[in-house]
Amino acid sequence: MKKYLTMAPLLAGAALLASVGVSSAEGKYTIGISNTVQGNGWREEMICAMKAQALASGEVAKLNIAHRNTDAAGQLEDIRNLISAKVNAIVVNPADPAGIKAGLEEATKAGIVVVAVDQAVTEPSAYIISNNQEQYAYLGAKWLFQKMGGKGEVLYMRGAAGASADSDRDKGFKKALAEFPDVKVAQEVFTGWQQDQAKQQILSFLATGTPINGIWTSGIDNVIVDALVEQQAPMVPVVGADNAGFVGQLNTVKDLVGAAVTNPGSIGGAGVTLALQILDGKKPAQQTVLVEPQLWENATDAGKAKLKAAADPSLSPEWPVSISIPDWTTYTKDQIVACKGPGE
Amino acid sequence: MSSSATMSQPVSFGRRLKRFMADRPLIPLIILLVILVVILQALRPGIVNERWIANTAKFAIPLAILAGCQTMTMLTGGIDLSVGTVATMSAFIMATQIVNQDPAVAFVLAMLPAVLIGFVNGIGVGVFRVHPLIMTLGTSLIGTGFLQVYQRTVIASGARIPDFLNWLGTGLTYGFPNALFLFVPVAVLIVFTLNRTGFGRLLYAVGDNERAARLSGVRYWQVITSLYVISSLLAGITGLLYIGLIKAPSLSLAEPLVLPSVAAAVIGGTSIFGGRGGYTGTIVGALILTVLTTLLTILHMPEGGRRILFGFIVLFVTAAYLRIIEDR
Amino acid sequence: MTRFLRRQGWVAGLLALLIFLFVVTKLIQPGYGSGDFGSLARAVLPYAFAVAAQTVVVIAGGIDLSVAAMMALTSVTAASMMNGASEEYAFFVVPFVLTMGLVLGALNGFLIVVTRVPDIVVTLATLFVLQGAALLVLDAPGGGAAEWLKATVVGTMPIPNVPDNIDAWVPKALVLLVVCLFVIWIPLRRSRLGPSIYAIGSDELAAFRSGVPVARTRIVAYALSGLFAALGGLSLTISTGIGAPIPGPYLLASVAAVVLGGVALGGGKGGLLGPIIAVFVLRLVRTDLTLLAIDPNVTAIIEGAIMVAVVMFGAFITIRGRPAGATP
Repeated sequence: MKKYLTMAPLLAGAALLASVGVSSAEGKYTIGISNTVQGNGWREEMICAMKAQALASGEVAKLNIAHRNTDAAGQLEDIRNLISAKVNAIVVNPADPAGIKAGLEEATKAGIVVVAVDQAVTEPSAYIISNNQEQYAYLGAKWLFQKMGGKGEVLYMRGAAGASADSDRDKGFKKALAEFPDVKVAQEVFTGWQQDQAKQQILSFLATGTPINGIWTSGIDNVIVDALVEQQAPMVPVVGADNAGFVGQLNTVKDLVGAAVTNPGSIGGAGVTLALQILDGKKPAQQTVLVEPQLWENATDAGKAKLKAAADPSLSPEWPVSISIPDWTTYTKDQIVACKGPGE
Repeated sequence: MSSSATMSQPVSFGRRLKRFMADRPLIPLIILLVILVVILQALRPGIVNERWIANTAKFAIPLAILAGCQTMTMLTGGIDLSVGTVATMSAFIMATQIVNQDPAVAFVLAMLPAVLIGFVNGIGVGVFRVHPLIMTLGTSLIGTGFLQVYQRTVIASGARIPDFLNWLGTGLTYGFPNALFLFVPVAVLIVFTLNRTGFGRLLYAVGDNERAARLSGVRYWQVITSLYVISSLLAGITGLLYIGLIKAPSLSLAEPLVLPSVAAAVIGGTSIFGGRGGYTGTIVGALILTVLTTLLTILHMPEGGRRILFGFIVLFVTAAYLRIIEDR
Repeated sequence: MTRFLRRQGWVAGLLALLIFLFVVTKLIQPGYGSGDFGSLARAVLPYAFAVAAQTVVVIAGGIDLSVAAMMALTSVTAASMMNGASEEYAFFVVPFVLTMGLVLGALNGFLIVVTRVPDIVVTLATLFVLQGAALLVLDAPGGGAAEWLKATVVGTMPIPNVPDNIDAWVPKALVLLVVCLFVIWIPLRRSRLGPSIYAIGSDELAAFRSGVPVARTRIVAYALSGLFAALGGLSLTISTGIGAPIPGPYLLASVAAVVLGGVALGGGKGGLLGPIIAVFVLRLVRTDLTLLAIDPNVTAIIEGAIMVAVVMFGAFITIRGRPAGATP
């Protein structure tokens, strides 16, 4: 029986060893990546942008990517594993700004450059290149409330209850709401950033017959437009993110007035660029770089032109169309879509 | 006449009512469903209209089919937690393969992982006697991994929802959801299989007393393997229906349906220990959960409160129902 | 006697697997040392408590789907109570949160006993309730933790008269884990309660006939599960310094490690040591996957495949080990 028992680990070990990739010798750095949400288009684009930028820079020999669904404690585990792997820099999309402070501090102490993307972190030694989530919500909500004529009822479709990005966006939304005292929230629901739940919720809400004048979504947007079309409900202004599917709808769906607020997943590529700059001794002037969101609307001709230029039907509909960030990313579209890092 | 008789013997009426309900377990379930609908209508007058009913059916149908997978596996004392992954895989593969492939080829490719996962589940449970919970959990993990690898190969090809699935998922015919064209035959087939065929009786027999069933000549592993393949195929078809309804291929499309599918089967009176239950109850269970979701969506309360309420109602409904039918 | 050997054999096999993995790790990363082992111990901590919570209940013949949600609730409660509070206040918070876990766990058991609804459904319902409650306590990640508590898992345990290079391999997190588990588990096994928990898991009717208070024992098992889960929740707050209302991936991980650890789903068999070693194995596999820079999309496949393969293997040797004449 002992024999049987030792066979399982041997097999498992063989499987492990067989899949070790041979890394290219070109670059000089090893970069570690930690991300805690797997399986949504935005995060997948972020990972692909990191790989593409690492490849395009020519400075990276190998990427160690820890990419799975977990919490802040799990991210601490991943960060410590990356420290054990002796990477030169860690690019992290934090599960929580404060919850991974201890791990980032240990990384800095070990001489590793730490860059947080997408969200800020509280660890002072970390560099941050982040999308401004509060501004993201504020920009879209303000446009929506203006479009509604400064009054009426808005359907507020949030992200996942208890997620820190969701609460940041809530601050921005509430800030805009405070500027328009005659706009009321007809209903607040959490989509959990799940397409199917969002669609079920919007259909339930439409069935109540409650009149609404606008819909704000936290990026689960195209199913909302679909629901309005299917139910032949009156079209109201819709705010979403720059996902390929929604941008396409803004260009083609009849009577739809709406705006896409950019929230580039390519921020991951920018994070890699920043990490490489620091490794090469070119430290940025400030510790934090904020990428400000843009708003593309289809109510004016100028906005329509921007949307037309941005639309990309060949992309997966969940992917944001802003696949690159000027000055920060140098890869081509083919490279990010191929989603291959150095040595792959 | 009858009213005067009941008035003279109020106690006996209560007992008779309970007996009546215990003999027809569907009736208390339907009453529960009606109560929920009435509450909904009272909270938001006018919500219960033709369109709402059609929408409720559209969302209850995929849940009911997945709950059918749970009902059948639970009858043998099992469970199938891989249905969410299987449905998501078939949906995602269909939406991405249809872009460059013939619809028939895309369909076959979409159903391939369903058959494979079902087969592996069946072999694991039937031959190796692994606990179904852990077996189906493991295969769903592996399936999710393969889907992750696969999605990277189709980033540039985009996705499209075939018109037929769109029609099936969202369309209406004379006010009835087209999904019924799929669901009614499937439901009839499941009910017929469970009640009228040898295979159905075998499932009940295995669940009731596995050892006795085996000694009396039932080929245990063959029954179990076919069962899990059927369950997986149903899940795959549900995925195709669901992508027609949601129209957004995501990598976690049908995962949120897994736990509710288990709950729907249990609320519908299927015993998780096997041997007892049926599909008609499960269908009503799925409707109850869908109406409950609507009810919670339109309530003005914090998200935490909604979840607490959901948990308590599921527990209450299941407990009350068990009380009624177990008293026979 | 043979059964005893088989059980110990499984644990010994796991231990061999763990040592083998340490060797593999050292080969992949020659610099892997005591500091990295400390990181492993810290990563293991919340998983180990989650698995302990699941193990008690599974041995008693049940399952607890609310483990992760219970951890989330206890974690946010602890974090919000300690937020801005004095260091000494934590001396009150820790027992408070542990009691809370104990009471809520007992409530799970009580509901199962009273409603007669299957445990899987009751704990599914309480999963939603506890998740909702966690959101009501904190609607976004936040809160704080006392510095002395955070220090309990950082660094190594100074042991007098032991050379530093050996001492370096005794991380505080490991000591904390071992102490907590021993303080609860050993007296439990020694008392009459321990055998009772095994008895109701292996054959409820027989246990009842031989005078075991089945209902009370079941409630105690769930209460202990709640206590372990609260320890897990506390360990989350201690390691991250915050509380997060969204449950982490601890439910599936706990079920997987319980089964890998040689505890039969169905009850009555296994111990705590096996599942705990299984947690170390699973975490070390994760470390190796990161060290090897394996494509992250493939890691889910590898983890799932290891789980299925080991469980099938375990089931296989159980079948082969059965005495002749028994059903295959």
